[in-house]
Amino acid sequence: MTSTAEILLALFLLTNIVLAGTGRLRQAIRLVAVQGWMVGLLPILLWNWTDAGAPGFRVWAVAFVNGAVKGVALPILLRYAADRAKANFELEPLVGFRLSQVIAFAIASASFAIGKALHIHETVASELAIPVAFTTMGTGLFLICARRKAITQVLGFLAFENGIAVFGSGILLEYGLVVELGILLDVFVLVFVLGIAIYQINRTFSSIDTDKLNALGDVHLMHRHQSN
Amino acid sequence: MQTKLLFTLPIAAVGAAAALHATAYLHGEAKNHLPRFWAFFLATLASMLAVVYAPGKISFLLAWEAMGLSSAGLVAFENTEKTVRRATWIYLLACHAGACALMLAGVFLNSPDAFLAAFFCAIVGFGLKIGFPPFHVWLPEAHPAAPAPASAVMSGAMIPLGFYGLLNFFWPVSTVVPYNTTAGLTLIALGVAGAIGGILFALPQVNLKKLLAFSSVENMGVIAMGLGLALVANSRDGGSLFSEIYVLSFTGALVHVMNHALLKGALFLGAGSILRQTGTLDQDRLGGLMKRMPFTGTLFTLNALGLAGLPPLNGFLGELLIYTAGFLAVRSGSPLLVAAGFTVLAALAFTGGLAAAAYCKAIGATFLGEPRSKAAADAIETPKRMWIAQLALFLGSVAMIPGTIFIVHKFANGIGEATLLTAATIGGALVLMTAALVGLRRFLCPRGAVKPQCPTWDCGYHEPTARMAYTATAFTQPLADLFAFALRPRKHLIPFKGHPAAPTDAALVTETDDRALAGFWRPLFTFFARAFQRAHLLQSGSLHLYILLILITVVVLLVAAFAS
Amino acid sequence: MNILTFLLAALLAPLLPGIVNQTKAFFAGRRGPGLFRLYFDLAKLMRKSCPRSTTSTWLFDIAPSVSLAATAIAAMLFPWGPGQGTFAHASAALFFYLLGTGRFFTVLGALDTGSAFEGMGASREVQFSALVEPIVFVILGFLVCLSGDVNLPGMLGDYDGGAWTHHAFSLILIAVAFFTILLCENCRVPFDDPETHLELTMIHEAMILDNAGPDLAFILYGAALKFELLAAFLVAMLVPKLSIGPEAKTVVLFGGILATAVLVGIVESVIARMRFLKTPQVLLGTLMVATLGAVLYILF
Repeated sequence: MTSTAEILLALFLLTNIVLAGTGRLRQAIRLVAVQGWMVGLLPILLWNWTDAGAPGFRVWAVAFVNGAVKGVALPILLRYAADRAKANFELEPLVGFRLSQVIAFAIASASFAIGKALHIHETVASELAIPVAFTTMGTGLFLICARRKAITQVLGFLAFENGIAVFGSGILLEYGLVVELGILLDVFVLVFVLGIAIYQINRTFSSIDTDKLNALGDVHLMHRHQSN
Repeated sequence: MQTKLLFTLPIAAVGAAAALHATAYLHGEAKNHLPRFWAFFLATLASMLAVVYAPGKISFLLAWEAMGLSSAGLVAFENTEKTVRRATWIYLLACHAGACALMLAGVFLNSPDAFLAAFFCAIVGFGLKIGFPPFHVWLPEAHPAAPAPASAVMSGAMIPLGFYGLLNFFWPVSTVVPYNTTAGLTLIALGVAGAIGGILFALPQVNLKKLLAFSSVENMGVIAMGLGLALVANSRDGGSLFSEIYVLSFTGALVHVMNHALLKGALFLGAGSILRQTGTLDQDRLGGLMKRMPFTGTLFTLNALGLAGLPPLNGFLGELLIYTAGFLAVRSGSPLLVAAGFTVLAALAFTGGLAAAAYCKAIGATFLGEPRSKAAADAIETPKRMWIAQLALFLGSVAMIPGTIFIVHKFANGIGEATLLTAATIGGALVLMTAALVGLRRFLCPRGAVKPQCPTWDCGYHEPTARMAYTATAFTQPLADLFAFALRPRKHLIPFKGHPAAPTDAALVTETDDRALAGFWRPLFTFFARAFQRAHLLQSGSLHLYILLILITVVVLLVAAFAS
Repeated sequence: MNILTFLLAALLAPLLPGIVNQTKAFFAGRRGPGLFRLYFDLAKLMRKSCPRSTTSTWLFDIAPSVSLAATAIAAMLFPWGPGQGTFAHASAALFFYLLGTGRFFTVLGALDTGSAFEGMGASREVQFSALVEPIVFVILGFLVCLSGDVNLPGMLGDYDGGAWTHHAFSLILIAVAFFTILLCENCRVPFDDPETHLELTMIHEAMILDNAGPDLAFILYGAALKFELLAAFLVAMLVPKLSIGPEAKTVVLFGGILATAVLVGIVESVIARMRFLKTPQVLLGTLMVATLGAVLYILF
């Protein structure tokens, strides 16, 4: 099954590069959702079917929960939050899309270099899972830094989490899945909270541009300036 | 001996054609100016031959300097114009700086330990002639300033002599294998930068000769890539595959020297014809010349097709050899060679695409559509001599097709020869197929059946004018904007004024200047000027201080001498 | 056998745009113009005359012929049938440069009319093709690594099936990259929309506004042939050496070409044309994907 898993990993890598270059909020949400489905599918594809027989109930359950939460529930929630906040469809980048793509490529190259240098072959189900996981985490973190809207930061966080999930299923198959479920629960709660937060930010500032939150930090400076 | 012949051929061919062209080009000049042109022209040709056949290092350097000086006389031909004087000044500076670096290289060359230092000095020295970035600074200045026959000789035959120098003194470097890698990688890096940078700057130029000058930077880059790949392959220990890569890319580079000489020479002559007949080289003010100057136009199109490296002409065969070497390098298994191969492949392909775009623009804006100015509308065909010179060079490049096959047959049998033969055959097949299809079309719609009386369908506009057609600037605007981070085009927008119902004229002018002068040389020279200002402290004018300085120097030298 | 498959390919080419359009019609719930529409169009156009504008010159007259000739010669180089083909030593660079010659003349023909719209189309065409070239050659470099052969016939499909078990990752990346250039080079959605009827939004169609009669027939047939060629390249690239008979292999090749046409139709049905300003970014991304594919093949 490794070759099928590798195809899936290749597509996963592609979603990262596309995600770094996309300019539309809906498309970005859709991409993260696709990543979610892939995260669900991955443990099953990476399972060593010939030696270990059919995977047990636990694997199936975790795969299903992963796919359902990350591929369906969270995207719907984000979509709902974006609609409620009447967010503009365009993502507002701090780093241009072309440059973002180049940076994503650089992150991918660095990840593969690191993955090659790590030499963890014994426990790894597929040699490519680790680099792809690193790439996804890196792209997620980069998106958090390089995009202006609060909702994109949630998206970047989700992509980061997808990377952790790929790492988990790549490196520690069965045992990792339990840990994975715990993380998943955290993320679910976090995204839920952030969704509400975005809605509240929007209601207070009539925008979800996080740059405007900077004004909060500068209040005392403004006062001083006025008193002068 | 063979390289000597190979570099003599362009001098002879381009020199002869340029002389023929010049007899008509200089027709209107004042009588007392002509001897000056011919004296410098012949001196340039003679010194170039002297460079090729110089027996030793000193005579080579002498010939090299003579070549620079005599060609500077050619650049300065129209010295009443300020831009020409400025260009001559920059060219002279470049020549002398190059000669300085070459002398240094000659000194280093004597000790085998300083090989790399010698090589880098030679890269600077010859690079100032060849036009490696950022040493290409004089090319876009001097070529437009010089009379067209002179630019043809300088661009076609003189610039590649820098490669002759490199080959003569640094080839084969097989005795010092570790240096080969560094030298090869340096050449590849310079080649990639020159090829892509040159053609990117060529794209948005509206002055036709400036475009051709930047395209020379590109072609020299292609040659450098070929030579670099050859060196890297030569530096690896390997079997027949490596020597095959070496031979193929080396031959490809040399064949490209020939192609560039003939075709670029012809293109510069074509540009000269246009300047003589219309008085301008501004592509935004030309257009429609294909009807008015059919021979010049047709030959310019064919030569540009060849220089863009497209089949069936010989320009493609040279690049094909380098491509084949690149493909072989990619599967060679040596990591460095694989990386070099991929770099060369991608860079060469990108250069090819951009070159096609640049020449499409040059042909389209100059020869096609309707004339955009009265000067272009009134142009007539040149005297026969002028286009015969271009025809001769074009036929020379066609004759290079069997010539290339012969060269490759002699040096690189095996995969290179078979690939090349197939490509040449396919080129012939393409010509035949085109002829057949043109014949079929002529049969289906005979010439007299429909009189060409309708204007161009301009989507409903009743009276399209030449002002509506795409200009040279507009054609390349998307690419120029895409690479604006490197090109830094300057845009002057004169916006609409007055009431929207009766606005005044608006205009947008885009200029893309060479970056090397402002971005590299001027800061460098400013830095040195500042540094030397500090030394002014010593030049106080007081005699006592001078004597003191002399005394200190003598003491220090004495101490140093005794201490050792 | 080789000649026969080449003729079959030449005959089949006009079917592909029909398949694309029928697929799109199926998705849109229309009846569609029929699979064989282009055959009828070509027959009709061949009987018409070629009017020509007073501005244009001989370049406009020969441009469609050169363009079609170059594409047809490139088609002859392609290893349609089993075995090494007539031109065993045809370089892959030659194959793509022939398409480049065709494009050079198409662009000149467009500029020859002096029309603003055709100039616009030509400008976009040269821009996108210049950006596509490096991607093509990175992919060719990958194929050389994969097959160990530098010639077009040996490069395509002459690798072990084991590559799909060990290097599926790279192959998928390369396949995605090549499919993207196939769309771009053939002026399909999302790079260009052949169906719009606004000259401002077209590339290829804008360049041929002034062509009519047999000229237009040459151009349309040439475009269909180019589409078939690149689709065949994609299929031949992805199908490894199979232990089946030559006839079965030909069936696989042509089946793959038809499937690619259906896939293009599906892509065109589900996504819209993107802004032209976005295209360079997508091509940049494609270059990176291709590079990753090639590098990972070598490293892993």
